[in-house]
Amino acid sequence: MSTTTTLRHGEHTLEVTIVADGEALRGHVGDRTVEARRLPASAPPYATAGASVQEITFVSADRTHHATVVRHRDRILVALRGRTYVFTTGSDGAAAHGSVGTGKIAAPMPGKIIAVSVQVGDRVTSGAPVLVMEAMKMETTLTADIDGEVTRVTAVAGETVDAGVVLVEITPA
Amino acid sequence: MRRVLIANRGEIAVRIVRACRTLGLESVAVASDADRTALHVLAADRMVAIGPAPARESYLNVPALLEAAQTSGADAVHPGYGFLAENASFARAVEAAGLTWIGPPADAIATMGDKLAARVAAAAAGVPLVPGSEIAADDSARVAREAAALGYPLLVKAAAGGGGKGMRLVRTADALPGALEAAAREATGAFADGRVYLERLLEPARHVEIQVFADRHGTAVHLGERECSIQRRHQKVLEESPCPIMTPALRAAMADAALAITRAVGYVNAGTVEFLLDAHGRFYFLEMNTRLQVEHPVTELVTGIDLVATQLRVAGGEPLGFSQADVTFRGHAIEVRLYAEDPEAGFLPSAGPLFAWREPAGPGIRVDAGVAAGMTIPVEYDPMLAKLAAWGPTRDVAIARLRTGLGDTVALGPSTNLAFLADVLDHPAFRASETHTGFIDAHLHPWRQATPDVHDAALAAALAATSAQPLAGGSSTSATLPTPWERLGAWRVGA
Repeated sequence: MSTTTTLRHGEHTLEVTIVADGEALRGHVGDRTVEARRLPASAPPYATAGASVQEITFVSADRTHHATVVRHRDRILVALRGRTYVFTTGSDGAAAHGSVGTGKIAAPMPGKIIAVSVQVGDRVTSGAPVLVMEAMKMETTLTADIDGEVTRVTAVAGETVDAGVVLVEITPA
Repeated sequence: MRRVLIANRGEIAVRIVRACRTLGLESVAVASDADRTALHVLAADRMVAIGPAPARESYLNVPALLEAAQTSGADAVHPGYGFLAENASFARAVEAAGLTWIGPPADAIATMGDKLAARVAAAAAGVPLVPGSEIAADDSARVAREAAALGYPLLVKAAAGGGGKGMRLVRTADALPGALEAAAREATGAFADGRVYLERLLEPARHVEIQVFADRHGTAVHLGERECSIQRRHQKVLEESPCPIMTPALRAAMADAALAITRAVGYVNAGTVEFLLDAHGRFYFLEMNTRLQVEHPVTELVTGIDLVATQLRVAGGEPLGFSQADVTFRGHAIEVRLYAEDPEAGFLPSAGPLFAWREPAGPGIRVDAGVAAGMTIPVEYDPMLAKLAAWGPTRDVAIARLRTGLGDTVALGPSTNLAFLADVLDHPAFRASETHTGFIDAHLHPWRQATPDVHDAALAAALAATSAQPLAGGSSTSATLPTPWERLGAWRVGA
């Protein structure tokens, strides 16, 4: 049996093909081949908050790998040796992460707008502060991600906003 | 004292429940609407709902807390840290309601809570201060002159401050007005007191604090020091005891200074006197924290003294039960704070469901956690998930144990600083005890998570993606994690 999964990790795309023969399996991860033997899971899988959680254990190159894997929508989170690896499946999985230089300044998380320092028509340079938010009791300054002109400001000081809401739009100069 | 209301949440509320239980006291948890299924609620003997999720309507809501104490029949209140722990009017209100306040006298809280008044008190006790303002910065021309006299870089700090809130680092004169405004605004929001003042930035310096404890019978002792130099956003992320460069003479001098302040303000119960220690072994008073510290476990690990149980006993009127000569220090302890935050994005807090959670274990490992798998990390509160600590006979052994423990820890859901903490422990400068308050900026900024095992992780992800899908439902191999209330309900019904 052979299955191929496309995973995005940051800017990289990894094609993982698994050829399984009982417990023995061969994985092709990118240009690497991993011969592995799968071990029974140490705990049964469970579902919580819309996610599935599994323990995945396999032996490769005489080394035991014990990972905890969460699948939540198009994201797969893997905990392995104290580090978390975030993969996305699907074609546009990477779009949500690392939105560099779009001119759309969005709330990174739910919180309250403390102060808005730009208005429509202002010229801003990348890195200039545009507003201050408070979330989890800490103030965070959001900055322009491109040079340009502020063409839309929806943020209002004192209002609470959800994560992902675009607060300021900047059109490239 | 028979039943203790814990006016807090998260890991510290769980910690206080444990201390209550060891002394045979009952515990009452309070919960906002966001915390009905939180770990501290499950841990305590009783629970009282106190209001909506925003802290000012629940954990900062004095009338609701006093009413909760009354309806639950509590006769004492432990404030934990944060929230109302250093609020003198809350301490007075608790005592006015006929309840025992598990903390220092309200007057001592008020004096030390005003950082400017604290500087005056420390100076009067003969303790050296960090050079800085005598009065609040309310006149911009005078402040500019004062800043020029102190020299840049300097810190703008909130008179009512704590936890890095209302604090700004200013490197040049043109940044001063903006920093004053931002600090005052943050301080007003956090403390309803916008007064700020200036302090010279001493760097490189270590943050070293002395744990003190006093009873109502005139005994005051110190429990040694903690070094807490590893900080981000002016908040501690790693603490250890002893300070790796401590000498008996320096410890004695710092402890004498801390105890002089303690006695000068008529202090009772647990407190911490914070100092900066410069490269020449000179120390300067920063502030006194009139409460239990987040990092109290490292002191417990090296002294064997249960600080929270001692707080409860002292508040009940008992003598400390030990003298300075009885306090001995054994081995080395290190604690790290596991936060739901993104170290790659300026340590921005993260929130949301915690899908998977596994705590480390093993010799010398101690975990103080406020979360469990399946819980949602609320956006309303501090994003700390747990404190992970290790004790060892030497610093190297403590580091090795803690580093191993971090590798065993699983926290999947929000972004966390787990890998960042491992990189701190692995850093050669940390191993060499070359720590100072600018450590993270100097060595780990900007920080990107290394991905040494990405191919193995990808294989695990693909194996999970192609395994039987537990979400499909009806599979005999899958289960739904019960909510904590379901677990609690079954336990109560079955009991």
